[in-house]
Amino acid sequence: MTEKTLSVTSRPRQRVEWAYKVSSLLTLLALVAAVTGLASLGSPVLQNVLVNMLINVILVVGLYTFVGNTGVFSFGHIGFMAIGAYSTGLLRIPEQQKAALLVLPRMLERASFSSTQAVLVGGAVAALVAAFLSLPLMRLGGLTAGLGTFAVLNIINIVAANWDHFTGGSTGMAGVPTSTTITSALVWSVLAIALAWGFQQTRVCLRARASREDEPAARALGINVISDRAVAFTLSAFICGIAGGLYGQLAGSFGPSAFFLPTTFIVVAMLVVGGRFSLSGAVIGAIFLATVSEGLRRIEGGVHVGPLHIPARPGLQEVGLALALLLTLLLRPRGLTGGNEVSLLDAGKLRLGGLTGRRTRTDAG
Amino acid sequence: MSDARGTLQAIGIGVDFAGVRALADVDLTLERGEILGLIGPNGAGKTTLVNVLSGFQRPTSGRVVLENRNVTGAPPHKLAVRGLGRTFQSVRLFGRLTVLENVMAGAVAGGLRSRPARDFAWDLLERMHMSHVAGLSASSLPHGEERRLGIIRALAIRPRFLLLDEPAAGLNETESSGLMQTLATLPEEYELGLLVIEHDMPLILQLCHRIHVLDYGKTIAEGSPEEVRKSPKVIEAYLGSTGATHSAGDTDAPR
Repeated sequence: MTEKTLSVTSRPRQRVEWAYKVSSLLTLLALVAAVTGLASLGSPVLQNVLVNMLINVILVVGLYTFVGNTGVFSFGHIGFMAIGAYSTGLLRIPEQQKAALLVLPRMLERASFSSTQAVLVGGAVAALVAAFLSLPLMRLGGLTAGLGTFAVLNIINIVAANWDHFTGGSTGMAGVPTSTTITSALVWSVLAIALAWGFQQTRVCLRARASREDEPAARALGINVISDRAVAFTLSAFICGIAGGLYGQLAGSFGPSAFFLPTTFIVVAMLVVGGRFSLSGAVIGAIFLATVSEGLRRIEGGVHVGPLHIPARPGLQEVGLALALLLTLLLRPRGLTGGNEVSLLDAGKLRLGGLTGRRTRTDAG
Repeated sequence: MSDARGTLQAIGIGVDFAGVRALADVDLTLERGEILGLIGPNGAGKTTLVNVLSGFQRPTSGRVVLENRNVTGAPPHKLAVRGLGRTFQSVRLFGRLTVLENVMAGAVAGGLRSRPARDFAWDLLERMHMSHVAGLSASSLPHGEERRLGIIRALAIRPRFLLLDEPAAGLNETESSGLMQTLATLPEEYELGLLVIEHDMPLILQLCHRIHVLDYGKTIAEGSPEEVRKSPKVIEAYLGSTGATHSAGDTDAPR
């Protein structure tokens, strides 16, 4: 009986809150689509930058899915990108080329998948490895977790550089059909954002976020911190693996160095600058830093601004990104979004706290 | 009132911290439906005992028995799933989550699916007069509401035993008497056994059915508020060792 009166009074609130959440997803998707639409009109160089940005969006969203929801930092996710890229490569390189470059089991040598299938398998393999690694890793917290995940990055890098038969060793893979386009990168980033958003609506994610805020309190409620974190870790590796698959099919050829410290740095910087506690922060951080980075790259090469000539400044891009990260940490430690979800709807009005004032419960009880 | 279905028992609990005896051979039983007060001077081992009961501290000796099951050494989350809830002296809210999400996290951890968890959390917030701040982040609450939310969150797992570590700490007189009124209704309303650590003697004597007194890790008295109030050992503990600094003891013990 009480339950009936309850659901009647709760339903409108829930619908409004739902509308707010959906609008924040749509806002992000619209933002990504708008940036893509604009940049796709530009030069081939700009279009290439755009595809790279979209892949970075997926990577940052993947990293966020774990880091943002659990509060545990990871420097290992680019390793999952590598796994995605190599797996996709193995499934996409034409058979003759595979035979020439790599030494593979017959079945794998013959394997020929569509681009989409290969990307999905790449994500799945990364997720599988992450699920296995989560057994020891999720017991760690704080600084030790950061070090542990960094060790994972190193291990994956070393395996990639030395497993000559499968990965081509330090020379890497070549001959991957370059089938990643603006459209496919956009579609995958939309899917990645939607997936991360969907996860955010689950019980696992609520529990993970609670543990992020206070672990002992979460355990006292009955939350199994380790297993919830492992789920987030696995899902985030899946998303990063997808990004890797897309990257592999963008670059065509790549070696282990593509998935190491520089990439890790930029992806972590994107997440921190955007705000690591919200999905909006992940997306906005990726777009923002990609834009800044591209601007700096152009200045780096030397430009004319009207009569003024700015000479080439090699290294300006890296320094600029490091400065952006430093300034964010100093001035806005919680990132551009401050850890909030961004929405075109007026967030303030829809906040539950504001709503409850108008609540009527005259006939309750 | 209490029925025979369940008790939470500490049997012969001893805890050593690097040679320091924090608890020695403590027996305590909490029945569903009752309110048990756990009192004692600072450092008497009250919080340690709650940590042992809730799985945060493994005892050096002795057993914890939850509804006829030996749960000694089980991790906190397993005990919570079996119906044991607790709060913390320092509250430990999920600061960046909303008030509603804090309670929902409890409801979800207690096994409810998202939607029923939300309804249940709303219901609890309404009953405890906190639904007007449901959408605010927990870190923005004033101290009194913080403590109240800590209790609501623990209730959300639908515990059969609830251990409250100084629920009224830092509350003003109005707030704490309001809280005590709420606490008094919990055992019947939610069919749970309530254990309360508290320093405010008049409050605890009024609230509890039974009282357990610890001093230097040992049980020095146990019984009805009336019996405990008259116990010479209790009077001595509060006056003798820490009486000078212990306001709660000062106000009550000499009578």
